[in-house]
Amino acid sequence: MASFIKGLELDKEDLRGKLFALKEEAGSDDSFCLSCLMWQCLSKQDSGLLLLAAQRPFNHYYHVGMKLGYNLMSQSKRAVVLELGKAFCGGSDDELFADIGTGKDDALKGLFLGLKRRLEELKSQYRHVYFIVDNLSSLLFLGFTSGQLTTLLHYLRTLADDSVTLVISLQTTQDDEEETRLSAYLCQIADFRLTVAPLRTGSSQDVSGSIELIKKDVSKIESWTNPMLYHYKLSERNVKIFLPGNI
Amino acid sequence: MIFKQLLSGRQFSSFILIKDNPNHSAHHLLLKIIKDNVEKKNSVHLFNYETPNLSQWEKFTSTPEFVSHSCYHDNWDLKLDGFDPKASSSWASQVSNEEGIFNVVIIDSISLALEDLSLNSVCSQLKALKALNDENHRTQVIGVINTSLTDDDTVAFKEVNRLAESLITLGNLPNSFSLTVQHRKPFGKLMDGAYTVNLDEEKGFVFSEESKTVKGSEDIKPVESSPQVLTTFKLTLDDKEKESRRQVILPYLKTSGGGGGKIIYEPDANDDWDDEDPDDDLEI
Repeated sequence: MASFIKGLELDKEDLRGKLFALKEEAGSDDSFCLSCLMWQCLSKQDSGLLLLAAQRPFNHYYHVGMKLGYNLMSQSKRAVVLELGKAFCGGSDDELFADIGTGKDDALKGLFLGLKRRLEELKSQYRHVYFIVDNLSSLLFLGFTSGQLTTLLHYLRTLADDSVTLVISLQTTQDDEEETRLSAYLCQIADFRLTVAPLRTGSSQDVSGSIELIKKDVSKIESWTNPMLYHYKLSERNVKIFLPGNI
Repeated sequence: MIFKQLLSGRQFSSFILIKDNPNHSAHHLLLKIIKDNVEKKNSVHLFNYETPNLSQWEKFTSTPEFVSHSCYHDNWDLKLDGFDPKASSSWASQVSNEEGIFNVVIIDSISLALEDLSLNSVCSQLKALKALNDENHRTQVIGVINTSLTDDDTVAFKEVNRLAESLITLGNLPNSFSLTVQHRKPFGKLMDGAYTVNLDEEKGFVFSEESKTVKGSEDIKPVESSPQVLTTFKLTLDDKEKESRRQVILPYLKTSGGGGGKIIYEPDANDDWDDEDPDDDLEI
C-alpha cells in the first residue's frame, strides 16, 4: 500500500486540513484507493478513522483490510465504521440515520450533526483523524437531490481542520446531470482531485486502469498543478502505480 | 492594452465578470486586483462565498481599505462557528456610499452565491451595485463565475454575463496560462485582447499581450457559425490569389476595349428568306 501513497507522491504532502475528492468514472472501482488511504491512516498509532460506509457493508472493508494487513474488527475503538445499509434493515439504532430514506433536509442535518459529534470524539483521542465518506452518490439514490447534497458538502468541508483529512468519494456518469453537478461542486472545493477511470483503449492484462491526480498549489498561477496521469495494476494484495508506458 | 487599462481604472467597467475553470483559478488575479486597489486607497469589499475562513486573504486583513464579508451561509440554521446567518443583508447595503470613495466590490464567487441565493436575487443585487454609480460615486463590481458549476449554456451565466461590461476568461488558450478580455464600450464597440500571464517571485502577477483587436459591434459573431470552420473546403482567397484574379482579362472584355464594333451580315445563297410577318398568326 505504500506503493500507492509513494507512487502518487502523497507521502510528500501534509494531508491534514485537506479535502480529497475521489471520483470514480463508470467502468472502474475506486475502493482500492480508499483501502490504501485507510491503511495509511491505521499504520500510524496516533491516527483515528471515521468511515461513513454508504455504499458497501462493513464486511467488505474488513476483508480488504485483512488482505492489506490491518484488522478493522480489532481496532474498532480507533476505526469507527458507520454503516448506512444497516439503518435500512433495522440493524442500526443510531439516530445518525434517522429518516435517511425520506429525502428531507432534516435527515441530512441529523446525519451531519451525528458525524460531527463522532469526529469530535475521535479528535479528542487522536492527533490525526481520517474522515472517509464512501460514497456520496449513494445518497442520490435515497431520494436526495444534488442541491441538498451540495449543501451537505458545504457543511462537511468545514470539518477538515488542522487534525482532520476529509476524503469524499463519488461516482460520475456522463449522462447523469445530478451526479455531474455534485462532482463539479466537490471538485471546486477540494484540495486534491483523484479520478479513477478505465483505460480508454479497452482492457489490458498489464494495466487495470488510470488515475489522474490534480493538487491545489497556490504557488502556481493556475492555483492547481498540471494533471498527472498514472496507470495502476491491481493484484491480490497490492496496487502498483506507474507512469504510462513504464510497466 | 485593454487588460492593463481595466486594471488601472483608465477604462472604467462597472462590472467585470471573471470566468475561471476547474484547472485555472482566479485566485492570483483577484490578489492582484485587491493589491492594486488597496495601494490606491480604494475601498475593497470582498464577499467571500468560497471558504468559511479568510486564510487565503490574510495578508490584506490588517489593511483598513480591505473589508471582508463572510458569506459562508448557514442554510440549515445550525448556528455553527464561521457561518453567516441565513438572512444576511444585501451586497449594496454593505458598501459605503460616501462621496469621493471608489468602491471595488468582489464577489467570490457568483456560482457559489447561486447555491444559496436565487438567480433573481443575484441579478437584482448586481444591478443595485451597478446603480450606485453616479457623478459623485464610483463602484466597480468584480464577480467570479466558475464554469464547472455555471456552464456557458446555463440561463444563470447568460443573465449574469448580460449585466457585465467586461468578461475575462481564464485559461482558454492551450499550452500556457492565458486569459482573454472582452470589454463592451458604450454604443456597442467591443475591445478585446489575449494575454499570457505568469507568476513572478518578485513582481507577482505579470502579463504580456498576445494580440489586440478593436471591432465594431456588428462584427461580434461566434466563429463557429462561419462556413469556413464547418467545412474542409477552401472557401476564401489569400492576397496573392486575389491579385492573380485581378490580372485575368475576361473573354468578353477582350473585344469591348476596341470600340466602334459593327456586325456585317452577308446573306448566303442557301438562306431561306421569308417576307411574311412572323407574328401574323397572333392576330394583333
